[in-house]
Amino acid sequence: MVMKIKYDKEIFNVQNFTEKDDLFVKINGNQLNYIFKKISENHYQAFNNEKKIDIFIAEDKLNIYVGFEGKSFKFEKTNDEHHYSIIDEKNLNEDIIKSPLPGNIVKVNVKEGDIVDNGDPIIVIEAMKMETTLYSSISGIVKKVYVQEDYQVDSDTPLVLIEKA
Amino acid sequence: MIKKVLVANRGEIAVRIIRALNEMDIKSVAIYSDIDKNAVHTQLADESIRVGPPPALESYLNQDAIINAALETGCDAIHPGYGFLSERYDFNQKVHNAGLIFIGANPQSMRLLGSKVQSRQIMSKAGIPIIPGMMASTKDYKEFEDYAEKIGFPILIKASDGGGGKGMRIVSTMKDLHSAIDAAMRESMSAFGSDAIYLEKYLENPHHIEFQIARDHFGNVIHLNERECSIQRRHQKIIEETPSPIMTPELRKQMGDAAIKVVNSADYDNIGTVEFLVDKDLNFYFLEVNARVQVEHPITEMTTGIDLVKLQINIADNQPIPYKQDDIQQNGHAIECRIYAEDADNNFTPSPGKILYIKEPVGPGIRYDSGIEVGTEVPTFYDPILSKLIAWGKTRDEAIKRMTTALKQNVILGVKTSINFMINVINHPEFKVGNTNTNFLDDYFSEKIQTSKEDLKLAIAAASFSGNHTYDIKNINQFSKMNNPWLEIGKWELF
Repeated sequence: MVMKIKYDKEIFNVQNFTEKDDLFVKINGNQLNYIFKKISENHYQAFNNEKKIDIFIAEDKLNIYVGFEGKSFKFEKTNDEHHYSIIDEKNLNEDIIKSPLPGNIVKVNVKEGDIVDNGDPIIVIEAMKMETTLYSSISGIVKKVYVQEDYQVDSDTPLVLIEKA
Repeated sequence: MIKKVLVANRGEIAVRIIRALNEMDIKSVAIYSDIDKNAVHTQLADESIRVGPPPALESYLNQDAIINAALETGCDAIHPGYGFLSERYDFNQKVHNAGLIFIGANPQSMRLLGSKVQSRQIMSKAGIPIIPGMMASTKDYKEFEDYAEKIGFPILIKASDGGGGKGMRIVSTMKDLHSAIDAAMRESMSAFGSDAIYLEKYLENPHHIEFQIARDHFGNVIHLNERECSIQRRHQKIIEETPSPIMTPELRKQMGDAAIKVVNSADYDNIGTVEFLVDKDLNFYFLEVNARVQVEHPITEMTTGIDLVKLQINIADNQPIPYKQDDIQQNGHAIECRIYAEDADNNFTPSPGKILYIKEPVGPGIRYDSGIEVGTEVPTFYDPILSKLIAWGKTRDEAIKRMTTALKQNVILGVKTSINFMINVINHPEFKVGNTNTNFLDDYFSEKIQTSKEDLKLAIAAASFSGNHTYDIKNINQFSKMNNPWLEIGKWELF
């Protein structure tokens, strides 16, 4: 089967196929120097002349997780075919500060109309008993504050919109 | 005689305590918040009882609900574990008032040592060296400014009633002082229910070395050697070892004696830990007493052969310590790696989620204290510790080797973990020679660990196997006949 996989800003075309019990993989048309074997639903082994690596995979609705030798990787599954190769370019005229994780807003340092500098602390969020400060990545004017102190937010919730001055 | 114990905690430490109770033929009762209804600790105990909704203040910190649960289930004692209510003397006193045994030191001693400021006063009087700084907590900005000016930046703001790195801020310039004071007070209030904070000199690059002690109701006291806990991120330990690579028999004697003096002067009567900072000239300063079982207690158990949780329960049950100082041996070397659900590439941000797959490490000298299994939800409400991996070896080198192998074996999928980060840390040349200090991670690991092309390719390959999408080789020819050789079935994004 064939698919596209994105890492950072690079797109990889991946193709895998089986031959008897062995699995082979091509990335961008180049065959990987490994033979893969399926051990169980979650467990594969990769072999070449030099080494053997146990690889573990699992998935949920949104993601595929891969782990081996202590390293782990998370792939996001999306099915929007029209956008599969479009990389989100950050709109540099504005900065939407989003919560990096679910938590509780403990402090909002700005109000709408405030002028802020690049690097100013904007919001403090608490999760798992630790406070994390979120900073502005541009200099500009606070256009919108979506939350108040004591709000519970999910990850990726827009908190503050700052427009470049 | 203690016959039934309520374990007022969750996760791996609740599991650890329940195991000790099982061995001692003491019945165990677990408590759980709504989100932990099916958690490992809830299942493992003989009985379990709900204490409230997920937020800690309403469940694992809900003193009355916990004491009522203990009374309702007919317990004689409460074991608080670490964190949560473990060092709250007011809870300790309430437990006593309810006619129950608190498995820990007496409330008066805990109150005294729980206040970092008060214990600084007492230890200073007893002739124990302390770090220069305030001798009382304050809310007065001006007082902080004056003190900071007097002892010079960098300074450290600390929660007087806290621990575990929470409510703590390093401040390097006057302009950051006010916001750091505010943040420390808020964090301390939320974590410990008290906003008492104070200031002390920030020692640069010290070793963090602590002594495990045990003292019983009869005044018998021993120390069980030191633990080196210098590898820290966000002022929280992540890798600990014993013995300390910088320890000498003379220094161990001096620090062990000081540790004993500390607990004697506070009339402490259970197991506990006396923390010190040690500078490059091997001068040591008293930091604080942790009046509880420590996260890193297993490395002491591995090298002394003494079960600290059982000892803790026996002392609380009015039994004398069955060992003399001379009985305490140090056999081999042990290292602990704390495995947190967090993103080491992203400033150790907590990574909540659901455990989809786990493979626990095994092998000679390996111990795995865990609070998770497949299906466990790692909630945002609590500390994100998942498990602790402990490796024992005859020598430090052997322990590092075993730890490396075990970390590589330990697969946890579904949340981000610090496993790969720790493999890199313990195999760093400076760690290998024992040059650890509290700035170690800032000095050598401030940059994100790069993913090699080779690893990335393997990961991409493995991801392509997900979900039974493998095709027989015969179909490959058909693919190549298509106009577009890549059959697009969606995209996978890797980060």
